[in-house]
Amino acid sequence: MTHTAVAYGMDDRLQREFDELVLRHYQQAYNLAYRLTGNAADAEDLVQEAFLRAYRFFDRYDRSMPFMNWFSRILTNLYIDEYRRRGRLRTVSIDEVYNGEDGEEGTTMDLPDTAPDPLERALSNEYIHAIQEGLQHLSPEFRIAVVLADLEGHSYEEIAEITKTSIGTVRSRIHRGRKQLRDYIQKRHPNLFERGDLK
Amino acid sequence: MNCRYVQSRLSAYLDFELSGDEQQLIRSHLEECIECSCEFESLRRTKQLLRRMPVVKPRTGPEQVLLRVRQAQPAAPRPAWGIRWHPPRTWQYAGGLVLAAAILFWGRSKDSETPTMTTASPTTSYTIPTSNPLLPAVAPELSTVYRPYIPNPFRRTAYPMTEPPLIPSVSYPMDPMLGYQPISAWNSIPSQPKFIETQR
Repeated sequence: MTHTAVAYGMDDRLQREFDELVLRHYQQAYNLAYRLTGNAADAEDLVQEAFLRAYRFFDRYDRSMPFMNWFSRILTNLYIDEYRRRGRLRTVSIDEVYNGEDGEEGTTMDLPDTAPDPLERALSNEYIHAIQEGLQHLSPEFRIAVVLADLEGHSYEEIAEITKTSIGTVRSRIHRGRKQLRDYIQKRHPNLFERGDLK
Repeated sequence: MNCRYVQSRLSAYLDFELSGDEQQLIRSHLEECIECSCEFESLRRTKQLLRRMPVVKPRTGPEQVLLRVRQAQPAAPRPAWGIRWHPPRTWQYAGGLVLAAAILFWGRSKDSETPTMTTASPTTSYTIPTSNPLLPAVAPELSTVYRPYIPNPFRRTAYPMTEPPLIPSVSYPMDPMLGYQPISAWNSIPSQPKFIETQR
């Protein structure tokens, strides 16, 4: 094996390991990207770019860290770069609301007043759309913190590691992000907050 | 514990990210404060809503990603000696030690250069000059130190104690130019010393 081949050719074993990681985490990565970008096309681009970057720097991957934590860092960094580069031009495409690509029950739409409790079953598409829209209205830092905490289920410590910030920053971002999101959803769907002994 | 403090920590409380004491304090506050508990309930509902968001299924499988990854080349491995040179850890430690020692002993040597000597006269005091080959020799009268006489009981009185032997040392075959016995002469070294009679 020549020197160049050693430098540029990835080991077969590493290649297989990376392929396996892609297969295992593709779904989760796409979900994360979709929740950040809010539409399928951008999410696909983001996931592809993130996996490419992960592949290029795979020799720097520290095996003591879960792959998804490392990969989330790459993906969120890419997302923030892209967001800053592009500005806030494309946030949500409205035409993707009810086309059933969310893995939900197609075009069925529950009316909020007829549903006994919107939280008892899976959320209807309307609510999902509203929440996704609310996420898009947050600043990218808040959105990343909220998505990592509530959708991906990471601890504050892990989020601090992924975003390379302090735990105090993570805590305040999550708190403020949730509050902004709550205000947004509450304005459009107050019935989601009217259940039980609330208010 | 005021409401403002509690409300700033409600999300962390919700995620069990506070210490046990704080968690307990906020829980007891929420039991008595309606305003804070309403705020807490709405945040809890927000978190519930987020947690119920379904997992989005991608339109395409991971094959596309794998294909693109195959075409791409991995980045060149990071050189062991980068552009910014970092000395090895051991060198860093050694450098630190040398620096610390220099700082420590610099002060020490300054102290030892000027020892206080007891002089005979209380008015004048002389210092012992250090013998520095780079500096000119100090005048001897300045360098004399007058010390009080302390008798030494172990002082040698007679010297030498024994007479030197009259018989000269044994002569061996030795190369006068080399100064030591040549190897060729080793065999001729007598096992017994040869006594040479001399006139007294």
